Amino acid sequence: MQCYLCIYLMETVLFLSFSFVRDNEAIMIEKIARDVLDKLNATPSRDFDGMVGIEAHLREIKSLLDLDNVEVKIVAIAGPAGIGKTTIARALYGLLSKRFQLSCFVDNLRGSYHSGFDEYGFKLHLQEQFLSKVLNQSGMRICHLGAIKENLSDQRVLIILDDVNKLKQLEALANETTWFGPGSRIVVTTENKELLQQHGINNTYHVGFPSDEDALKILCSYAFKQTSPRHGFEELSESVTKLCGKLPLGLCVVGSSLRGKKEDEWEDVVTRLETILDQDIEDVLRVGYESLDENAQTLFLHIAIFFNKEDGDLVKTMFAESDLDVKYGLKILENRSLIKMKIFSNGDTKIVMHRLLQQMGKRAIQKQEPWERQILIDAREICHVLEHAKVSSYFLSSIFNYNVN
Amino acid sequence: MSFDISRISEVSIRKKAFKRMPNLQFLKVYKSKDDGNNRMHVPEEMDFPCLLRLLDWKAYPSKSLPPTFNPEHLVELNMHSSQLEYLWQGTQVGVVLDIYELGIFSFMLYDALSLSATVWFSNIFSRSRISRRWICHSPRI
Repeated sequence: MQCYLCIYLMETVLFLSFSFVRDNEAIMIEKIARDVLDKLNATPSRDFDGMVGIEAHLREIKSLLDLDNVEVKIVAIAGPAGIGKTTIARALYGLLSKRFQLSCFVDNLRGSYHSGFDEYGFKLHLQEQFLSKVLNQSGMRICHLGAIKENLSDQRVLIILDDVNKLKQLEALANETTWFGPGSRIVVTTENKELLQQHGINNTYHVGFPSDEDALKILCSYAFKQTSPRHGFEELSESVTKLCGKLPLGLCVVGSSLRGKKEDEWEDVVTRLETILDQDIEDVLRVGYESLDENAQTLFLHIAIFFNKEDGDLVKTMFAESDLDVKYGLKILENRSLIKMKIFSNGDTKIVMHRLLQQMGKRAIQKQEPWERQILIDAREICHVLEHAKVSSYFLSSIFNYNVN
Repeated sequence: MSFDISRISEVSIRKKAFKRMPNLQFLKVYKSKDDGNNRMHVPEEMDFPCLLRLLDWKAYPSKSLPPTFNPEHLVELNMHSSQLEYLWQGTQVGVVLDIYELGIFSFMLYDALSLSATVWFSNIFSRSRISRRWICHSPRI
C-alpha cells in the first residue's frame, strides 16, 4: 500500500510540474488530495466487513453525493425500519468523514422531543446539541437560530442526520443549504418519504429489500459466519430465510439465535416461524428474544424500556446491587444481534437497541401474565395504581410489596 | 415502571402511592407524543420509593422534590424540562450536574448547596466516569 502510494504521489508531482493545467491547479490538487485519502480509506471500516451488499449501496450513494461538485447537497437514504439504513449511513460516514473539514453523525434525533419546549425552544435545543457535537465543545449555549450558519457556513462539512422523523428536526438542523460551506454534504436517513418531499430533498437513495440470494447470504453470515449454508443445513437455511421475510434485521436476529444450533433446533424455529402471519417482523424478532435465558431476557426488557442508548457503565451501576449478571448478559445480547455496543475513542460505551426490537420488547411485556411482570408499562394500569394507592391482587409482581399490613 | 402520559388526560397521584411499591427501582415518566397539556398532580409530600435507582421524569410538575426524598441509591436523575426550582429543600436547581449526551461534564453551581447535597456530589465525583448522572434542566425562559 505504502509503495503504491509513493508511486502515486511521484506521478502526481511529475504531472503537476508539467503544468498542463495550471489554471485548474488548485482544483487538481484538491482532487488528488482526495484521491489519496480515498486510497487510504479504500475499504470501509472493519465493522462493515462482510456485510452483504454494502459495497453496492455505497457505490450508488456516492454517485448521488457527487463529491467533486462544490455545491452543497442534501441526500436522503430512505426505506423501512430494519432494512439497514443506519448501517449503510455509518459505513458511508466511516468511508468519507476524513475528506471533510468537520463531520458529525447525529444519531439521537428520534427521541429528541422534549415537552416543555415550544417549537422555537425545541429548535434552539437541537441546534445547541448539534453544534456542541460538531464543534466538539460541550454545553454550547446559543441564542438564535442563525447559529449553525454563523459557525459552519465557511466549513466543508459532512453531516449525517440519522432516523429523522419530524420535519422540525430538518428545519432546525439543515433548513438551508447556505448554512454550510461549499462542497458540504448532508445525508438524511428516514422511513418517511413524505418528509423528504416537504423539505424539498430530491436526491434520494431508496434502500431496497435484498434479493433471495442476498437474503440467504445475510442469514448465513450470522448463523454460520460464512455466506453460504454449512453442509447439511442448505434446505433449513432456505426455509428460515423465506419465513423471516427479507428484512435484514429479522434475518440477522434469527440467524444469530441459530448460531451453533443443531438441526432439530433449526426445525423448531422453522415450525415457530410458520405460525407467524404475514411475516410480521415483531413476531419474527421475538424468536430471538425467546431463545434467551431468563437473565438475558430480563436485561433485554430493561434495556428496551429504560436504557436504550445509555452508557454501558451507567447500566452496570444500575444493576450493581441486583442478582442480574449484566456483563455476561450484555455479551449474550450483543452476540445475538439484539443490541449493539458502540465504543467511543475515550473508552465510553453506548448500548443501542433497534427500535423494532424495543417495540417487540414492549409487546413481550404485555404478553406476560400480570403477576409475572417486573416492569409496568400500561398507562391505564399505572394510573390505577397511582391514583388509588392500592394494589389489587392482580399485580403480584415483584415491584410490589404485597405483604403490606 | 415506565409511564407514558401522552395517552392520559389527567392523573392525581396519591401521597402514599409509591409506599406500596418499595421494590420499585426504575421510574420513568415521559410523553411519547406531544398532544397538548396533560394534567398531572403530584402531592408535595409524596413518598418516593426508597430504593429508586433511576428517576427519569420529564416535565416534573412540582417546584421541588419532596423533603423525604432519599437519593441514597439513585444512579441517574433526569428531570429535563421540569418545573423544579429546588431539588429538595436547601438545594437550588441550576445546581446542574450535566453529563450530557456527549459524556462531558459541564457543571454549574448557582447557589450554596445543602450539606447533604455536597456530600452526595463528592460521592458522585469519586466514582468512575459516568457511573452516576444528573440532568435537571428547567425549560428555557
